[in-house]
Amino acid sequence: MARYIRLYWMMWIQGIQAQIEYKSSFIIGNVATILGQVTGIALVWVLFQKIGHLNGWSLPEIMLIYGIAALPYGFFELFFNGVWSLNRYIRMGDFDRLLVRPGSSLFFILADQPMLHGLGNIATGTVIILLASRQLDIRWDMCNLLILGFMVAWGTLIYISINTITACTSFWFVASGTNFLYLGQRFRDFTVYPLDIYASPLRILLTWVIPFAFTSFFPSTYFLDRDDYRVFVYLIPVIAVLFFGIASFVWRIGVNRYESTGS
Amino acid sequence: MKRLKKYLILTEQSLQVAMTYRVRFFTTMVTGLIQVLALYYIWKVVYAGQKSLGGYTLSEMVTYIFISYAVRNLYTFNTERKISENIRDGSVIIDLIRPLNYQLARFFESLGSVIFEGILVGIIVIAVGFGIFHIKGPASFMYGTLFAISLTFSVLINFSLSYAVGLLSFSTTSIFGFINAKRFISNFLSGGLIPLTFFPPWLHKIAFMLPFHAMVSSPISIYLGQIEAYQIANVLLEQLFWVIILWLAGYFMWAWASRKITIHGG
Amino acid sequence: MSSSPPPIISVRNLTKEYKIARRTEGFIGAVKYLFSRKYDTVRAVDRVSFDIYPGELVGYIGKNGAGKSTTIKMLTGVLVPTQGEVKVNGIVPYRDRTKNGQNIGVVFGQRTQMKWDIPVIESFRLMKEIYQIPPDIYKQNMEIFCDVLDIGSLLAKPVRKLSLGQRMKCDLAIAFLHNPKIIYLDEPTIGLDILVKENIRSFIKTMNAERNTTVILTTHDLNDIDSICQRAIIIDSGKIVYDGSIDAIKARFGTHKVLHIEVKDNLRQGDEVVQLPAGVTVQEFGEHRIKLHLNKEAASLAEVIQTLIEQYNIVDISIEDVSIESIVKQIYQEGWHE
Ligand SMILES: Nc1ncnc2c1ncn2[C@@H]1O[C@H](COP(=O)(O)OP(=O)(O)OP(=O)(O)O)[C@@H](O)[C@H]1O
Ligand SMILES: [Mg+2]
Repeated sequence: MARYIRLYWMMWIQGIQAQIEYKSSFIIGNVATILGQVTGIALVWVLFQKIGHLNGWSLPEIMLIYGIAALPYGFFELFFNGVWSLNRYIRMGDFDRLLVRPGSSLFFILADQPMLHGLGNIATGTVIILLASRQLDIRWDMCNLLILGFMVAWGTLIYISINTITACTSFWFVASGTNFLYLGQRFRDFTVYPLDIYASPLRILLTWVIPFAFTSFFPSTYFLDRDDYRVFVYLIPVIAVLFFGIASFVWRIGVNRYESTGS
Repeated sequence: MKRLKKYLILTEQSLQVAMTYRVRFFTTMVTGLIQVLALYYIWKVVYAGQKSLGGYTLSEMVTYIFISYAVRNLYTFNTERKISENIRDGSVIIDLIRPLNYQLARFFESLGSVIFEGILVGIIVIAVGFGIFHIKGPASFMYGTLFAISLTFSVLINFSLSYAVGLLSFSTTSIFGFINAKRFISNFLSGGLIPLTFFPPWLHKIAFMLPFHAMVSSPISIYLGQIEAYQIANVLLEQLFWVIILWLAGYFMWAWASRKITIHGG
Repeated sequence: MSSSPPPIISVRNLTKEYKIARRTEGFIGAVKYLFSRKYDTVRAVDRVSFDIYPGELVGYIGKNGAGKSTTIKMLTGVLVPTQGEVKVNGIVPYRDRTKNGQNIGVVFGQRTQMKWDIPVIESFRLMKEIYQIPPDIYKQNMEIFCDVLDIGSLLAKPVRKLSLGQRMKCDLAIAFLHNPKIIYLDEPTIGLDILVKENIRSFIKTMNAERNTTVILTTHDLNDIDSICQRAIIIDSGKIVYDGSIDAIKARFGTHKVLHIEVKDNLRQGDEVVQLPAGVTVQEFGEHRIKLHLNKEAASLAEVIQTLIEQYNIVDISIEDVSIESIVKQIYQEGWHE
């Protein structure tokens, strides 16, 4: 374990160095992420110029959900973004390089390409949360901060799991240049809004199949004192661990498949 | 004519390549349907108890969502990614030794995915719109025709912008930030996600000073018949203006970039 | 190299400098690097001048990093020179890439011109349109190439299913497809087996003989040069160290021989051969083997062998001409002194 942490740290530093190499891209990358968050929330703001509430949710409440959604996403990008390279690695035959290393190949791929622009997501998310909390009267005392910290950590694990599973499709559809990761990510777009605005099939999907709701909406309900969703808040760690288990399993099947077809 | 032929084969071949990515076609389509569906639900909730918002009734808004998706999707964001990948891995070298105009070649190459992923997915999504969500057709046959012309300009503007952004790879070695920034700004200011009439006046003004609205908002407003017949010429001319400006911008950027090339590897 | 036609490629004081940002190690270094940077300039090609005449077969040789690819990239118009002039068929390549492109064919050994996912034949069709090749020439060339390079059976396969050698043969055929006046080949035989190499060499020679195509070739396999080229340009650290005929090199070193001697006793360091005449150098010594390099003009072969027989219990002796490879090695190390 200690070895993995040390190794991870080294790989992370190297990955970061590779990015700092390109100074302007570091800056513009973060500017772009911030821009993405800002335009996203601006759309909601524009909409609220015309309406008073969205299915009973006020603008600050939606901002809180939006801000919390940005955190695990940002941490995922900053630390575990490597699964995005899986498709390219397999296509170019570079995946062998990871397989011959001593240790878990999933670990190596996750640590492979940290994206510094995750920082932009974390920063904007924090600012949006703070703006929302001012109007909602949420106090960020030690207790709340700790709880948020845990939720973000579990949320990051959920991101790792979902993205690993969708990335694994590359083991099956190599030549087609397809990336199911994009498809999975599109479902993330839903979860920056309250879950109950969607029809029930979509709600079930976002809760039990692609459980992004556990990374943003359910955590937010805790801070908004919506007791009707409390059960789902307790389920956050369960879902995270369960899906990580599924992800590891799918990964193993994928790798075995890769080895047996390897050219 | 002969000159055109050597560019048309680029379209044909990129179409062939696109067609080998059948699974990607499928995911693009599903992604598109999901996005449209999400917007549909959101707007339905937004309209709860309201007859009209920003000058749109709910059923007009549903039409807007579907058509705007088809228009946005017509031009995928592949051009800039391809250009920047070619520059990064050095395979641009192959394009440099060929007797082709780089800008034109990239344009015709990009048409392949416009045809396969843009038009085909667009048709499917719109068919779903007509079949299940009862969206409206164009205001009249003439409006439909003018809509098609406007779409052509939209593709040209889209390409020119993507091309210019892609060429930035010559000075920043990693370009994804620029690509994303462009995507976010254009999603926001083109009217792709929310009609520009919802914007407060100052933002509305800004949006109309920039080229993005000419990519999505202009063709849709023609489709929906929101523009009086006599004003359509103005809208089309404005689009044409942006086509020319942005094409020239790309032309000069290439003149500048192609002298700065260093090829990596080899 | 007759003097009547004007050179098809003419290069004067051609120079290319690359700017490389200087880095320090570690995380702190990386952060520092974020805020300030210093640049080193590398002179990859340094005031190179030469003329190449129509129909010449020129080998462009040098160690790794000598500046070969950089030169080729400037000749093809890919890179803009830092200084100096290039003219290819009367055109400054980087100023008029489109026009220059029509006159040249290029193979970059590490890259393919073909699209990865679609069949090989499609790439040929693409070239037909891009270079506006008349149908009869296209047909004729395809027949010749399929015959000589034996690529007919590959045409229907997608490129990613080709082996390296098969891909290279296709890329070579593509480069020659529009009957270009000049062909640049940057390491066309890299990583190929001897049969494919032979095939490619004879193809290039045939094309040159039949169409008077000018060929410029870089390679690390000096057998390529030996069998294809009449002229060699040797470059080292961006500078030309030799430019002349291969025959001149051979003539110069033709009197040189290499002796391989196998002896019965196990030789150790310190047991060096004594009393060798001038003009003989020891290249290897150890185990049961001695390798000597000798210039026949300075030392008599018989005398050397005599000396050896007196000292060692000899099992076997073989005498060879010096390979062009070791000649070039010597020129790299010592330069070409007249
Ligand atoms: N894009 C680049 N940026 C910076 N330096 C470069 C670049 N390309 C080449 N160089 C440097 O220029 C010099 C010449 O490189 P070049 O590729 O021309 O060598 P080469 O003779 O082709 O070598 P090889 O036989 O290894 O292919 C080398 O020192 C190399 O490090
Ligand atoms: Mg080289």
